Amino acid sequence: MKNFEQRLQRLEYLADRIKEPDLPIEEAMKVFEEGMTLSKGLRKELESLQGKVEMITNGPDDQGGPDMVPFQEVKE
Amino acid sequence: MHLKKPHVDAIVIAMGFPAKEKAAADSSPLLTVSELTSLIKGNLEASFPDVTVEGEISNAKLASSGHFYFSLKDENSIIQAVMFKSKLAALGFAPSDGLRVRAHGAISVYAQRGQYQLIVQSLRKAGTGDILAMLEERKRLLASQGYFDAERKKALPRFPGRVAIVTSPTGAAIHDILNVLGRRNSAIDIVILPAPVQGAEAAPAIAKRIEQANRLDIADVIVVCRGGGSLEDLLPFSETVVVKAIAASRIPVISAVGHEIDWALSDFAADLRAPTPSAAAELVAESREVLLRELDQFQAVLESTMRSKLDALGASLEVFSPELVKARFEILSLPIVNRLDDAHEALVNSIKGLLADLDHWIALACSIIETASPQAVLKRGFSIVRRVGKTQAVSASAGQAAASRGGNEIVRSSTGLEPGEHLHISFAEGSALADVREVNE
Repeated sequence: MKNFEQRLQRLEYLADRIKEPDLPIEEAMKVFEEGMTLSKGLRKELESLQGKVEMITNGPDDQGGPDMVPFQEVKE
Repeated sequence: MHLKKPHVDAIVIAMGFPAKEKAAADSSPLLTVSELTSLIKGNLEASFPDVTVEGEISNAKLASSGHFYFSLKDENSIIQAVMFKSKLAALGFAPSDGLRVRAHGAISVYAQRGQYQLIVQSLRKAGTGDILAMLEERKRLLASQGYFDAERKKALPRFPGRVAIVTSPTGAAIHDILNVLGRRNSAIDIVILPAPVQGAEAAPAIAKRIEQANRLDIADVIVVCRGGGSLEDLLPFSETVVVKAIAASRIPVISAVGHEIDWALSDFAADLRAPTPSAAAELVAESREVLLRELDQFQAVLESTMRSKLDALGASLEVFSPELVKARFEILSLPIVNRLDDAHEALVNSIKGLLADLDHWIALACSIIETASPQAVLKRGFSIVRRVGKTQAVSASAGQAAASRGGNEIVRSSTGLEPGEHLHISFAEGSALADVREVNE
């Protein structure tokens, strides 16, 4: 599956394409269906996001993958 | 009150009140408040028409008139000050409480309040002159090297799913950001890359965190930020190493340093400057709401365009509805039906005529045939004579049989007949056999 931005761009393209006056109706139906599927998928993805806050524990010079811990705010 | 009098006199003396009018406490000249204030005003304003004073701003208040009222203070003293709107507009920074400034202006007495204050003509941050000059010089250098070029700026992703924050994990900035994101229910993943944000070790640490974020491809957007502070506190964000790290970042960078009025060179290198860390968070949080609205719009476009296309198609198909097709066919077929009807009628009529003619002709033919019938001739008294031959049977019936067989020829002339020859004679009714007795030619 393409990433969010790519799918969003595809949706934009489809929304433009369907407005073309000489687009055959079969083509328009395909555009419509693909566009609606994309739109619903993107929306679902956006709405289902939870949003977690983590902090990387690697030092700035550490190589390898990031080690993360959930971030607990400590007030100064 | 008696304690006040010598005090007032002392001021008067100090201000150069004419000595000859000096009198004993009891006999000092009686002044009205306005007279006294006027004297003070005249002396004071004449003495300090042009002063520069350094102090810390407090009680800063921007009046609705646009004039800026504040106090300048140091450890022991305080003086009221005002900067009028026209001068304030030319100021390169927003003066706020706690800021050390050098104010240049004139002392003025405000008679109605019995106060004296500094009318500020110009204001600059105290002790910042050197730092600002250094920053300007560095800014010029980095700009000339292309680090601030507009072409370098990357577009922020419309929806950053994950945001890296390079800041102090205990600072005001991260607190503000998490506050905003929590309030906005942004649902965006945040990863904090802790770095000190002031002091000598801050700049290299911030730069390395930016490099690390890129190396680990850790987020869609990096926010480099810290809360407000003194010009010196913000300096790490203006360090060349930070500017270069931001410019080199493949991941788009938002710089959010201090308050609205503050700036750092990181702002110029970043793809986007947010006036505060909170504002950066708003930008990030907004992206999801904006995107959801955009999705709504796309969906509406798809639906409405599809509907209008289908409507248009329906309208063009209506021409072909069964009722209309039937009506149209009828219109088209009517002439043909008419022609068919006409032809049919013509045909029927013609046949009738033809049959009538035929009847007529048959009747005519019958009468002609009847007229031409040998029987009819016979009835008129003629007879048919056939040769039967000499040696043949002579009975009339045998002759008739022979005649009907066509064996004997009809006699049309006497030539060839011989006496004694038998002839068969057919009458209208009956027949007879006769002998030839004499032949006359």
